[in-house]
Amino acid sequence: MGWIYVLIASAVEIAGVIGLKLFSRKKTLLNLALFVSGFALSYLFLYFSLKYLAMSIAYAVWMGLGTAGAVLVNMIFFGESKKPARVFGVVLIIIGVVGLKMIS
Amino acid sequence: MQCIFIIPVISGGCLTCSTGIVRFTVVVIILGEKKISKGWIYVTLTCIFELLWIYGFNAAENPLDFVLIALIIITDFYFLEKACETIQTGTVYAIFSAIGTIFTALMDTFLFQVEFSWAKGIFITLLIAGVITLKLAENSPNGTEKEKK
Repeated sequence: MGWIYVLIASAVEIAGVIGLKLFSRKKTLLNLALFVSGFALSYLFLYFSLKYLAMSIAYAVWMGLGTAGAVLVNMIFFGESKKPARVFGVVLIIIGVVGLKMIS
Repeated sequence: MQCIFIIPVISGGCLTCSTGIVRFTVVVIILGEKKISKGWIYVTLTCIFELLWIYGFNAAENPLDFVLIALIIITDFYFLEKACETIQTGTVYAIFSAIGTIFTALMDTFLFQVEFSWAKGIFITLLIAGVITLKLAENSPNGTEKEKK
């Protein structure tokens, strides 16, 4: 259950990042709502996950998936650079998350 | 305005780094090193506040605690934004996510008596190495040399 909460927390954080990006381009209320609620829900679900998971694991996975997810979204939907360093970073994060899931 | 496109990875959340970095370039040119050392104070503060809310998440018991935590998170965002004004966003994030991860592992082990295992340590290290790689890749290549580590 803890892992599901962390996954949700990371997903809504990515939504928040998209909201922020859209808001920085176009200042609409909808974009602002996406941005603020995305981040707020992200913290909330991280909090829920701590009932089941060790803090170090929950925090690292939340941080990792949020970062990797945002980079992937930006590469795929916003046409950002796909330079090797970024792909390598995403791969490292995935290895870390899968590894942590397997040992816990 | 290209700066807005440099910032997109916001984990843990930097509200207005996008505008921060626009100002960052200008400020650094005008004020030089004086501003940069101030930036590092904000980096330190944002790390401390990050650790405070994480600790709070584990220790909170009554509704008042959660109000306090919300205030700490907002303060954290504020310092993060201030730090991003003078130091490249990628650098700030790389440092504060690394510090957050290292200290949560330490808190787990020493404050909350969670068992430490080498496998866990290694996977967390790999994960954070990935985060640092991504954050540093965010930095614009023409950023000032001064804060390169």
